[in-house]
Amino acid sequence: MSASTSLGSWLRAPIPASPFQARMQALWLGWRRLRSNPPALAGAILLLLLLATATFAPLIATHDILAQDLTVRLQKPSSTHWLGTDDLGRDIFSRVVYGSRITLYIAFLAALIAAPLGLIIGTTAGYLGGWADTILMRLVDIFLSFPSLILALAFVAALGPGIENAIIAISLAAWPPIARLARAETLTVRKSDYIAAVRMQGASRMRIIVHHVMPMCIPSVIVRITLNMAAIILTAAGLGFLGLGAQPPSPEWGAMLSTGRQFVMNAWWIAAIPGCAILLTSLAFNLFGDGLRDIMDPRHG
Amino acid sequence: MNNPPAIEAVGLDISFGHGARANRAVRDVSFQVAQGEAFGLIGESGSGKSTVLRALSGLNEHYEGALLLHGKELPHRRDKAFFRRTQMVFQDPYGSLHPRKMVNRVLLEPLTIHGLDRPQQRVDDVLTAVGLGPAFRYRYPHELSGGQRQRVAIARCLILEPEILLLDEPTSALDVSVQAEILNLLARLRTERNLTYIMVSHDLAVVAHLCGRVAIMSQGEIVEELSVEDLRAGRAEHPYSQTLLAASRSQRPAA
Amino acid sequence: MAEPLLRLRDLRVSFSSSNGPVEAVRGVSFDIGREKVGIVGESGSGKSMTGRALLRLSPRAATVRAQEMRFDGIDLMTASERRLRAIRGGRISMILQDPKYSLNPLMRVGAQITESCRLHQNVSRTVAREKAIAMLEAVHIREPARVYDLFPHEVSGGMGQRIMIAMMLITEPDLIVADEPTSALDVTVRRQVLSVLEELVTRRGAGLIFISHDLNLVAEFCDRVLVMYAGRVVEELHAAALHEARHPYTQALLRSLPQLEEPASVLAVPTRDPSWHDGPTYRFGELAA
Repeated sequence: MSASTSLGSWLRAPIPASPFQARMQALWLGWRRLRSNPPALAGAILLLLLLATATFAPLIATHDILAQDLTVRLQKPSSTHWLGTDDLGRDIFSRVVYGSRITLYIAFLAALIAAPLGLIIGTTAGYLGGWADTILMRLVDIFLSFPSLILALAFVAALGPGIENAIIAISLAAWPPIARLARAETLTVRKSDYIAAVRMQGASRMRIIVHHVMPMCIPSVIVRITLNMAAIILTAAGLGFLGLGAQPPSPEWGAMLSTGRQFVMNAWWIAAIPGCAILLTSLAFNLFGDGLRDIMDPRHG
Repeated sequence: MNNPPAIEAVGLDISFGHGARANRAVRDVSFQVAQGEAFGLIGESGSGKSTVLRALSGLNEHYEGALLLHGKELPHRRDKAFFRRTQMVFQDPYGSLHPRKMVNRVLLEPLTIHGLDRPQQRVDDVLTAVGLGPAFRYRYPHELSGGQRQRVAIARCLILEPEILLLDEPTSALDVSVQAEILNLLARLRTERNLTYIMVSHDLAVVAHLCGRVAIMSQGEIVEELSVEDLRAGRAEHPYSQTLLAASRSQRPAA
Repeated sequence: MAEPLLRLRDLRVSFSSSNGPVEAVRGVSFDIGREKVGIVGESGSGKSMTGRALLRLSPRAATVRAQEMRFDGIDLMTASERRLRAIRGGRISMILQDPKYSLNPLMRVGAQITESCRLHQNVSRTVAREKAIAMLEAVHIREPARVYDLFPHEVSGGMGQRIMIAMMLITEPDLIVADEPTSALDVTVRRQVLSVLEELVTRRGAGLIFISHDLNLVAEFCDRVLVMYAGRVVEELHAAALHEARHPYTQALLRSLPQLEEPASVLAVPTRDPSWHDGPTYRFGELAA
């Protein structure tokens, strides 16, 4: 009890004694806001569950995901096969569990490429203005004028199918909206007095963009990319569905959905289970992203 | 005079926009400020007083005419050495501090840029000098009051040990009691560190409190330069200065 | 004495926070007749909250309580939202600090002025237009017919504030709440705006609540001054007797202003005594009960 109260008072102390304490206090405040927002909390819990599933997949899975057993093909959900089996007799539960690894891998890697790329291009264009702005933003316009799935398709067609190429293709389609957002944010930040104050200290443009403009854009970029995760996951599943993403026998949800399509009339679970997994994951990212916006956006704080 | 003035403006002309629609915000403004002097620029909104200050500070590089520092003409794009000698305090303490940076990082930044030694020692010293104390190091701007923020902004300027401070309405966004604190602080710092001030304000009483000499601006021009004694006594010759003085007086009846 | 125009008893405005409720206004009481009353205080003193509470325009997060809040016999605490809407802008008007934010940038000046008039008085378009132009004339705007067709960004700050006043006064309200109406204006323009306000209030015999941080300005302009500190009225004074202020906070505020005529090497800074928070208050130089 005394330990928890002293931790509580440390987190609530009006004057933080160290940068670490100040940062922890900010985190604590964020957690308290998240707690008072049930949908966002639900999203966060779902995402944590998903992460845990992906991490501990070998412990959770009940069957070998690649072992084919034609004697048990197209079986309904039962006590041995919790979510049934597919056309090759593979356990769907285990495959969905392992599939979460692929989905999260694609989503996070794509986000990790798209967010910094969009952030750098957007802030640079917004802060420098003039020619740099014109050139960079026309580039963004060109990318934005393609529907993202078609763009991803075109890249995969050029690079060949496979997870890595799917990730590159998805990132290339995902960065332009981020860049546009970052640029818009930068344009408001650029005129502020605190940027003028840093300029008055002799900071270089590079330093101003990296240390002063970017931190202001990062929260909205994080919110945006979290909301985009749903779209990224759908694109990844779409590519898998079309046979252009992860290749069989990999348990990617989109690919699973694609094979289930043939049996949807007599074995609905083959398509429905990965479909539900995709739905839940997208929903979780959307809920959490909305919550993050409320927490991180200072205009609502 | 042996020493050239610390700051001199010669025929300063600043326009916004181009061609026929250009708006000449500052017209042929010249003045000199000696080392250690406190000089005030008074005017109403749109008089061009802040525009002059932004050109001086190097934030606006597009001006015509010359600005001289100790007799040497300043390049339009200022170098790092200039910023060590000249710093600026902004009007709105709510807008001039980065909302996501702790006081400590705000103050360390200029030291990193200019590569100064003993950074933590300097931060503590400057926070003490502006009357806050080292306990304020790990606070975020939103945890500070307006007056405390303005003190941090002043600390950020002083940490580079400049000789010239440009003050852009440093108290107009503050409550009267806090205004008194900040004005006292600025007055004390000037004597302690032999600073040169150029202050822009619309409030005659505030300028008169801090400055020894003032220039009154209207529609981009300096219409009159006055000593503060003349200002207090109401000895102005230009009709606009007289109007301004009369308007400021009537609202401040002698107690 | 007849019943005052507005009677306020024990107004309390509180906000809930993580550390329990925080009271921004703590028991403010006053009567307003057909006179000019100034409310002075620094930011956070609760002066603006008090003004907004009178129009029942407090932020959603605020809880407003009062023993009594009667305007011309109408209980504002229990009045329905519909009734309040009819009073607001019709019989009680509010003038805000910055015309830049309170005028709709997409509507012509004239349309904005006539809108409230047509809303509250149900008059025809042509009558409303005539009234609006007459009103613009009354706030000393030259060429009112031309200004009538301008957009807000085409007028200067001082003119914008006068348009705002015209808009608020066209319904001939009985009570005007002006929250820092001249703080965003230059000194020379400020005088114009004040004289317009003064003229209209005196001529119509309306009541005016003038909220400001500028003690001297309020003292010069108003008949009576209420000084607020930490959510309470700590001192009430006749404007002419400002220098007889008894409360240390009022005295300190007066001394902290730099004076043009009398130089001081160091300005007095009010040392905020914790005892002021709940300590004695003064009315017209006497210790209040």
